[in-house]
Amino acid sequence: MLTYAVRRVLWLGPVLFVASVLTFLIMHWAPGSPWLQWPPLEPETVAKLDQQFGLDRPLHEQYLRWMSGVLRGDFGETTQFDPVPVGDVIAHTLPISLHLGGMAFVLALLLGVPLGVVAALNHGTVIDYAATGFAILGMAAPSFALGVVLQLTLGHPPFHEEIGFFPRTGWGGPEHWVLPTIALAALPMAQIARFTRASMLDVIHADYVRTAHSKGVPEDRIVTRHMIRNALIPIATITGPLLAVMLTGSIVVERLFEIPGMGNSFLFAIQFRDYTTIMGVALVYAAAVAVANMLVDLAYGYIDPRIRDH
Amino acid sequence: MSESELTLPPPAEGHAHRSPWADAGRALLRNRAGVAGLVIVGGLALLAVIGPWIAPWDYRVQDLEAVLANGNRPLPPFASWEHLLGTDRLGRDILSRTIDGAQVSMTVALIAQVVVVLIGVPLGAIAGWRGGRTGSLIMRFTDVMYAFPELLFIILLVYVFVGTPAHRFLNGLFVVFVAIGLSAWVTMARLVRAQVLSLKHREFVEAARAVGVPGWKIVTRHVLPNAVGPVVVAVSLGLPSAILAESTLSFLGLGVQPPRASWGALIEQGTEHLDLYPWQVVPPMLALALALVGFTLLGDALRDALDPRASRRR
Repeated sequence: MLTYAVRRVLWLGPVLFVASVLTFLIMHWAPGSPWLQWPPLEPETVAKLDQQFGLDRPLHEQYLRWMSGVLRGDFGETTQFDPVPVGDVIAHTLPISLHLGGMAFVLALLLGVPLGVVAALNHGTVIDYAATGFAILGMAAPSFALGVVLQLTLGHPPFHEEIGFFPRTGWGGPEHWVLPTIALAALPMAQIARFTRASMLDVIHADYVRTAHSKGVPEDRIVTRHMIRNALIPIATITGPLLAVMLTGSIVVERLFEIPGMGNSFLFAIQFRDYTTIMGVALVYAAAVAVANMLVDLAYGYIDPRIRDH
Repeated sequence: MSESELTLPPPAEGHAHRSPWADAGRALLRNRAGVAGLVIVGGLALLAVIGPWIAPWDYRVQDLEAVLANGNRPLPPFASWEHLLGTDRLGRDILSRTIDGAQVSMTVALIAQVVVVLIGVPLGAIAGWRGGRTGSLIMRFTDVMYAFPELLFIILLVYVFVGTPAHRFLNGLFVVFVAIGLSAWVTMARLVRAQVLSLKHREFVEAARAVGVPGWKIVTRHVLPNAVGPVVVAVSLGLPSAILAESTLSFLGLGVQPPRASWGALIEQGTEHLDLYPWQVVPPMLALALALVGFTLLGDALRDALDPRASRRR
């Protein structure tokens, strides 16, 4: 187990390296530069800015400089006229994105797992169809579409604070959290519910469940101790990809609800070709997803020894 | 009539040569949710093909007179026979634009999956068949791509093309399906590799090898045809995610470019004046939801039909 864990942790290095190289190449391959504006800047000014930010050097040298900075914990400064450290940008926006993603993830689990369990226990009945139908509706509600509907139905219309329940945009108190969390949670909730249902149906006919029945174990105890416990193991595998979906999915939700999270700063950075911010934010996203996948793999390897031996 | 004749019933008609595909088709048609998905997807596909002929207006035409006659406001739905679902502020017919959106979404979903198959199947087959250094190099690369957040990668790729001739090609659609395909092939490559690995040492493959069939021919003639089922399922489950990715990109303004509009782009346009004309977002939202439900139901049913082990999960 230890060698497996060490190998799995070391694997993060090449993943993040290749991810950052790809981001770097794609970014510099894109036309435009941070200094594009109207009216255009004097060529001398552009040359000076390029020199100041090191953009006049060969690509590999730029990358190595950025990389060595990151290894020392320095993400560089934003490629803007009023540069601030990219580390500060991340420090301000990442907690907000994590907060939003975390709340949505918990909501999705809290709704999705019981929904799937109830559907499986009532397999083939009206309850099953209702729960499955609800989950399918969640699959049909992209976060941005659901977000628009929520804003329209539950949000305050402009200049009418007395109508509606929650602010449409912004990020401050708990009243701001409700709508974006629901919008972001719907799709993962549906996926968790569907997966839980399938996983529960797999164990419902397992030998150990029949044995428990024949031993006379009370029904609710069979469900909680024998069925749900085993059914949850495969669910652990999809939580990794789902965390990734939450994190990147929040890009759209942050844009729609005007939340000052990392997704919004990524969209702005990409729009204004803010190279250092793009690199920094993309690296943090990739790291978050890679670590989430790694934790899931480790947990799975711990539960199921066959995984480690690959 | 002798007894032996009674005990040997004649073979049922049409069942003499039941192929696995016919079995799967029958299983699909027995699945009510699958039939519903098939009907929805078939309807949308039909709409995508014949849309230009049945749409009451061209999606580009601006009926400015109608908007001016309405006090320079977009027409509400069900107010006139001319514009059954109303117009946007430029007087473009919303029903027609929603119908045209079917063509956009279907095209993107299909071609993105073609890109996925063209990249994922060969790479997965090579990785599974060759194994060794080539195989592990390919798999390591897919592992890295798998860890790269998908939407992030797609947005980055699309920005590479913004303002270039490729971006103007097909109203920006070309870039969208290339970007979606380039990020989604990873799952396909992993799946095909697993299939090839499991088929690699089966008797019929060994037999082909023993009579001296060249390796590439064994893979294309004997191995891959046996892996078609899972590939079909993966493609059908990839279609709704491609539609979702396209509508998300279009909602961010990165997808299809005006005057063409996909459902995501129509929803984005509708949010501009959400309080004054909220009904503008309803038709594209319903269409998008219908497409996602239809493709999901069909994909689930196909998986159940082609994978007998999973059938009781239905």
